[in-house]
Amino acid sequence: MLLLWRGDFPLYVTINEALISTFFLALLGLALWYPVRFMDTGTNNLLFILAGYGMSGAVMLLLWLTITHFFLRNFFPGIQDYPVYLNESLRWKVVGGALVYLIIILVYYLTMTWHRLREKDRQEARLEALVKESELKMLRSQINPHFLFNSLNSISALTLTDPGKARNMVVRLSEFFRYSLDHKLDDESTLEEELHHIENYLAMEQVRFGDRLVFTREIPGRCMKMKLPNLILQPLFENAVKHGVYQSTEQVEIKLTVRCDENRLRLKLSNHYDPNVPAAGRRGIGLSNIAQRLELKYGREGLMGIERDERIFIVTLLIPQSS
Amino acid sequence: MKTERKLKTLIIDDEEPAREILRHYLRDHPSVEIIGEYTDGFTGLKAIQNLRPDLVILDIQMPKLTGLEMLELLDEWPAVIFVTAYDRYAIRAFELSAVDYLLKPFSEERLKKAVDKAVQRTGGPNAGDEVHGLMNVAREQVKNIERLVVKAGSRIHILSLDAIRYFEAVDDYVKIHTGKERYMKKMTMKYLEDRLDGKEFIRIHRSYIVAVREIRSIEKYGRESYIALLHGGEKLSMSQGGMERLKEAMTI
Repeated sequence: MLLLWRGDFPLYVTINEALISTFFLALLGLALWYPVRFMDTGTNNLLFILAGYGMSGAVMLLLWLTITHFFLRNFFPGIQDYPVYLNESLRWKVVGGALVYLIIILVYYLTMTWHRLREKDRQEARLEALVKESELKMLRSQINPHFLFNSLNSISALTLTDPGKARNMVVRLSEFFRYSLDHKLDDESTLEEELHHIENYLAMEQVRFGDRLVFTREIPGRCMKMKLPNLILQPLFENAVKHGVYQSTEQVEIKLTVRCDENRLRLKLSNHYDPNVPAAGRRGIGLSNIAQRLELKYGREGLMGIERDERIFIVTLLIPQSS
Repeated sequence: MKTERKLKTLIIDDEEPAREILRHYLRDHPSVEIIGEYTDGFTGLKAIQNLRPDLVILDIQMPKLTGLEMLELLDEWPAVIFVTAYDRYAIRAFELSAVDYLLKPFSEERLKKAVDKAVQRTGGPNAGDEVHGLMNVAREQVKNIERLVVKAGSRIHILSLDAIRYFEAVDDYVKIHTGKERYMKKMTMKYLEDRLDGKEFIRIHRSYIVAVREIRSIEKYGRESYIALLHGGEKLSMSQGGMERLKEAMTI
């Protein structure tokens, strides 16, 4: 293609040369994808990029010319002047090859940019959906209507039997909602603060369910000041109450065991449940949300674990502590 | 006057404070006599059958059996006033039918109004009609079946879908096959098919809906029919359409 046919050589020679040159140029052009990808490391160092492309361009041209000339020389050894012509045409081929090289790189760059834009769009859409969803869930858990209305009903009953306790429960309920509203999900609190919140929640539920709900805890004092994500315990307790206490006519024990060292806080929440009663609602949507939150926050999987046997359901959380 | 006679009333609610309020509000109501309080669907159901109350004040969310599931097991219904805190599905069903319902917390006046309505109705011959209407509406409202409540003699069973192997149409009933037992429940195959997860349960034939996990193998039987062999050893007829639904469920 670089050789203009001037009638010096037979037509087939010219065509052959064009075919061979183009073939090897195309082959090397395809292989160029790898150096282009390699250079695309996100660096902004212009010198590095220019040097890289200069080098890969030189290597490609050298390879291309060496290979094509090797082939051409051996293809038409009998024709006079051909080797001379080959040597003369060299600089035009260098210029042309360099031009093709630049075009190929440009095309690769455009393709990569286009792909990256599309991928970015897709990722942004996904992220947005996730944020919306968790905000919605957050809102709903802040103002769990079932809990709110049942609590108000219990308080209404307490005004008849125990007005003092009714006043106490109004305070607890207010504290509960205030805590939920004031604490952002991506922030942290101490175990002590989270536990106070849980105590408010359980106190309300205990008015409703009386002896059916028993809460026991085993927490070393030194763990109380350790940090954990805001409102991470509430869904676990709600879950335990919903699947343990709601579904049972017998007493249900909810037990929280905490262990800690400097680097981590380990929480284990267990509750009894009646395996003979298939849940009317699906279990685990709230729990998978917790696992997701932990994974996003600490960049690690497997911080939440679930075990169950015939009668007991156990959730464990492992909260890494930053020093 | 008819209202001289007091309505025999049952309270069925698992929460003591909720019963406390009802007791208090109704303590000297001229036309209500509370004849019993029950704390779950099982005992409530037995009490309704034995005591034949005129009126039941019924909570929806209860252990083991919900208020609606309990009513489903009755053949005749008393007048019912439903009480619930927040249950979108149930409230939607109430709105679409004529039953009276109270949202917790409710006022004394609101309860009295509901009771007065019940007093008027129970004078008539079909006091339970509204409940009957509600049951139909509520059944239609269900989008996904997650468990089934069945009666076997005097015993009540709550069946998890995991325990069900296949359903078989028998006249107006559906025969539910579990591991060892069979239960009859009045409903249609269409109702079930529409509300079961199409990946787990397949309508393989006019008369059968089968759990996919239970199918051991399929054999060609006629030109357009097959036999499904189950792990339990049963051989069930399968239609061409059933075969296609099964294939679809397996590929997606």
